[in-house]
Amino acid sequence: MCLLDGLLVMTIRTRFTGLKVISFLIIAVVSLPLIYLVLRASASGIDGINYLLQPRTLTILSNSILLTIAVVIASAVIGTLFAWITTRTNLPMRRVVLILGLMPMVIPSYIGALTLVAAFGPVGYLQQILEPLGIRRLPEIYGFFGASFAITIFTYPYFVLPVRAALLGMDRSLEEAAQSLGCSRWQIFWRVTLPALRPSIAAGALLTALYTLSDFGAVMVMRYNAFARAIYVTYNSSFDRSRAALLALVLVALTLLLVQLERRVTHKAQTYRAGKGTTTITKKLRLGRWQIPAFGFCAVLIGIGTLLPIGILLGWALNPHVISPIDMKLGEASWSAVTTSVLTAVVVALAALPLAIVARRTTSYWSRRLVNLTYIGNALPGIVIGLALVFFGANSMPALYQTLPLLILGYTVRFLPYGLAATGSALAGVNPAFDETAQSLGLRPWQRLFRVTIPLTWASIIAGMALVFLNTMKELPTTLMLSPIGFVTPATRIWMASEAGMLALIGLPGLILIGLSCVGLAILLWRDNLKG
Amino acid sequence: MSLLELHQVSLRFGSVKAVDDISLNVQKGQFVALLGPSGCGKTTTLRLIAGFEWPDSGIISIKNRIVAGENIRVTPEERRVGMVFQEYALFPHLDVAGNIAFGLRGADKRKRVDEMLALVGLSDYAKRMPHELSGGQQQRIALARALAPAPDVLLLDEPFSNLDAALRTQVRTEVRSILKKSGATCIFVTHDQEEALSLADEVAVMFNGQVAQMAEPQRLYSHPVNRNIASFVGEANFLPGEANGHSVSCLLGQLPLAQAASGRVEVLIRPEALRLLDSSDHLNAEIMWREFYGHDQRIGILLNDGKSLIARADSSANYTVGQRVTVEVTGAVQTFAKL
Repeated sequence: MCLLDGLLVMTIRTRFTGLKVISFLIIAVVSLPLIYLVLRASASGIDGINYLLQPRTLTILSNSILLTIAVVIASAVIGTLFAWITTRTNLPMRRVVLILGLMPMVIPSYIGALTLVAAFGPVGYLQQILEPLGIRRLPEIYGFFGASFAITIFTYPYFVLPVRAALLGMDRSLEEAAQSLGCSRWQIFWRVTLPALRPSIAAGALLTALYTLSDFGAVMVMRYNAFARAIYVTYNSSFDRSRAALLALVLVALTLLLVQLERRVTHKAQTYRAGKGTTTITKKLRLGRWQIPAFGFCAVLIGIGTLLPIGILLGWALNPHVISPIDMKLGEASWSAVTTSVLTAVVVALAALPLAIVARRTTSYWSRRLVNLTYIGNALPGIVIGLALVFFGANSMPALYQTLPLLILGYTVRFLPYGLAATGSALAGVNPAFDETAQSLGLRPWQRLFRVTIPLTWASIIAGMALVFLNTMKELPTTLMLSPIGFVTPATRIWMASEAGMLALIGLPGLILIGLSCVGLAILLWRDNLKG
Repeated sequence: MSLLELHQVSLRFGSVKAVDDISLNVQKGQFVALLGPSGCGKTTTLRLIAGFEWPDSGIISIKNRIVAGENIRVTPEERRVGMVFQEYALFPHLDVAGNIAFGLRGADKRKRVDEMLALVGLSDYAKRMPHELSGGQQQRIALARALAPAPDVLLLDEPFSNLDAALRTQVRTEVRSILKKSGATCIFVTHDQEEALSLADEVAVMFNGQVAQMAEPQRLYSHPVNRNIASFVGEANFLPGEANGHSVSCLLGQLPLAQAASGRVEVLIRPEALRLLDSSDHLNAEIMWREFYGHDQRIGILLNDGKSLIARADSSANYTVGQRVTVEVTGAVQTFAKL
């Protein structure tokens, strides 16, 4: 019976077989390097286990966990408060404050961290200002404090967006019900508002935790020995590269644990909604005497997270002494980055199409499972992907090692989830009834593709490609590890300049990357508008 | 002594007079309906009583304490007014017992929750989460939660609009018995005249932010003060006529008047006052359509001179579309001066 069923289903779905084979190949290519990394790491056997049990490894682990916890807590408090102030109160210039407050999201962490060091580090701007007042030493910025400070500043927007959405979508009558049952403002916040925000805060926390674990730039700049930095340093300094692979494996395990947790939480969040709740909250809370502290809080946040980095970059870029021979390479670097990024975007879009179709249009459990697997790439730190491809390239395909194709493969593994999300959601937006209507009106499959599916999905697919393009432009660790000799992008230019201590050279490429990220954010918002 | 009093209360939203000089008196234990079309200000009136909105002018007092007036602003949490929201607004993160206990203080919380669960007949549901309940059950829990702190007044906003028609009548009966048992003073808002007439001790009909008439359901139906109310509360036919003292002459002949009038008027004839006779002489109308409801039927008729009317007849009467009949009016009729 079961066999017969299977045969029947197979026959119905034969037209997907070709696509499934292609999808399987894509998934294989994308996951091979990671599998190779696992094999390579496990090949070190007892030695490997001994290495992992060394105090140094445990320190790295506890460093990473501590950093993650600190960042999540700090970002949650700051992000939730900021979202609440800008959504629920009568703070003047709310919209401007909100947009400026979201800006840190578009500042790559390595650029942000560099500017923070320039401002608050030893011999930084703040110390120069305070020097005449007799303050000789500022608290140490390098290490745990600096890393958690920098990452918090650049991740709290991950809380602002979901919390704001939850606040805006919240049923007004919930808070009014609490009020009519005798609750004060403060009690309402703790007993009704905060519990309603719990799923959004949890989602933001997991996103932030994943970001913190995979962040490369801030921990490098702040010299904090969390996984990303430890892996890079180990990789660069020791002959036995399998140690880097071992560390990467622990990081992957930690990441997968978080991804699993995230699935639980988002699933729970979906069952949380009870009523339809149509009335939304429009009334703003009068801040009264709290207006100045609230405004001050937002001002400090925006000052440190947005104005300071951009101001410092501007200052560097406008410095008249920077025009040095090395900087002439910026144009060249930009051009090579643009071409590789465009190529990556095209490759990702082409790879995502069959995967998305298989995931959406078949009901086979295993096909869907496999496609879901590629989403994990989203959570994998760039440093791990870079490392995996280095191993894979150097050992199995020496011809490809340090070539452009391997770099693009690395980018593809890293950013395929973006393409998949864009194409997948575009396909999900196409009501099957449209296709069936076209069919009943006598259109052949390819006619339906060109006259129904593509007109309905192209905008979203293009938006996805743009996102891949922009993220590739910004990507640092993958580029550092995989680029051919002499290959330079604005991101690696910034990196080299900072290692050489030539901070002034960072100004222009930094501003260019931030500008590009702004475009990316605009595209994301545009796509969401298309959907809604 | 009235428990709740609104005295010349007004509230504007921008240029719109949402509530326009309303005065209302509600006695202890009374069940009052605010009835009106959407946008008439009935929900705003309810929210003014609850304290979610503040009047621009006028005074609201509960139990002889002014809660809203010049320089007096008692916040909703200090008013002892319970509210049942249209969408129930059960806290999704708390179970049924947690929801009911939400407004309670002190040690006998548990006991009061059990009492309330028993009152609404859901004693076995204490540990359920709101999304596990049916619409009717959610509503009873919302009722229990609002009643638990023993509020002075209970407000209900469109309490039955979220239930499907089949369930509505049953839930309505349950809710009324729960509320009567609790002895609460209630005000509820509805746009459904049947709901208002069947549930309330008194109905206040609202149009354009004003209370057009407040009366017992029966009186409201039989003696509407104007044409708008007559057609909003129940179904109505209007015929032009000429009144002279105690009778009026119109298309359906010389009819007795309930109240003396004179001059050009409009005659209100309720559908059930029309009788359709199958006689052979003086056939003055034709049957155009027929809707059968089981307990009775609605019949559309066209008078010879082209005026169409709606009649109601009991279910046993047999009519066919196209049949010609004689139309008569039973009882005295009411008239409104022609505008």
